[in-house]
Amino acid sequence: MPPDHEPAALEAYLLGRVGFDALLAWQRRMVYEVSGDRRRGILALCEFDPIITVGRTGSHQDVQIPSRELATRGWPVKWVNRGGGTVLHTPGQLQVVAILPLDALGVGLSAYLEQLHDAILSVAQESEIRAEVIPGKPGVWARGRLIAPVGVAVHDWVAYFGASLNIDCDLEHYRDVRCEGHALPMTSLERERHGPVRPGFVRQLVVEAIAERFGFPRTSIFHHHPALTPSAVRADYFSRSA
Amino acid sequence: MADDATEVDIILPDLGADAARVTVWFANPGDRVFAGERVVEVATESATFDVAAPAGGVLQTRLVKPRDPIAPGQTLGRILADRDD
Repeated sequence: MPPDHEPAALEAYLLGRVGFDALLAWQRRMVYEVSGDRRRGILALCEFDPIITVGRTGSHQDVQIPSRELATRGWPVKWVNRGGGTVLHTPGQLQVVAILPLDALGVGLSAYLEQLHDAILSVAQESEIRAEVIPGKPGVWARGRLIAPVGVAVHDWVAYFGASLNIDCDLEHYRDVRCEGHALPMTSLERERHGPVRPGFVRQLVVEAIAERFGFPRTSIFHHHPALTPSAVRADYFSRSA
Repeated sequence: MADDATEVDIILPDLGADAARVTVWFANPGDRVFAGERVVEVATESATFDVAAPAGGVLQTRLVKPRDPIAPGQTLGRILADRDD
């Protein structure tokens, strides 16, 4: 599928920690905007407070925590219209929200998913860990554990949602939620490196990888968007991100 | 309405994906739909895709149901379209 338009700059929004519902509303608006101007591509990188999202192939059985305990922890469970299964999102996990016009970029659904996986894989590898993409098992893997689940949705040939890359999240939480239906808890860049990871460096790698894979000649970086007010930007977010 | 309406098929486009199945219908037979409005969602393993109404009118028939495997070019449903559309 040849590209319909020459892509303009990739708009990359480094948003810090945002509320999940606010991000969903913002994402809907961005999908609408990209539908109207298919030279645009938007990438949002953010984190969520703990929340469980269940995609179209997920099940409530993936959440092995009683409802009362979920309420005590303050972990909402949201059913969402992306592909993929159940994912626990926690601080330290980078949300890679890619809002891209597939027709304008000249990629079909499989090619898009392949390139998105490849972009996240390259970030993991440049973070000096052994990672792989396994045919028939969505997401990016490291030593048999999922490190980045991938799930997208497409409306009017504009893709949204994307991937969740574990950087330095508390992996203890992942024993209670079978992410993407897998019994083995997820891993993280920090765990695989046996040492600290600079989230700011990882974000930079993600932006570069997405821009390169989808042919954006340049990237514009923003730290906020007027239509999205961060609901809770943690005070130490940027200091720990250096 | 039948005199000034025509039947339009809702066809699954080529997604560039190997296998897909129906996940959700957003309209019931008899519902009014608008051109470009999503009427049915299909999914591959890692992605969902909204199939839009090709014309405005009334959803007449749903030819596939959730979890049915589907292929590009397959007719998913039919709209009794307003002639103006």
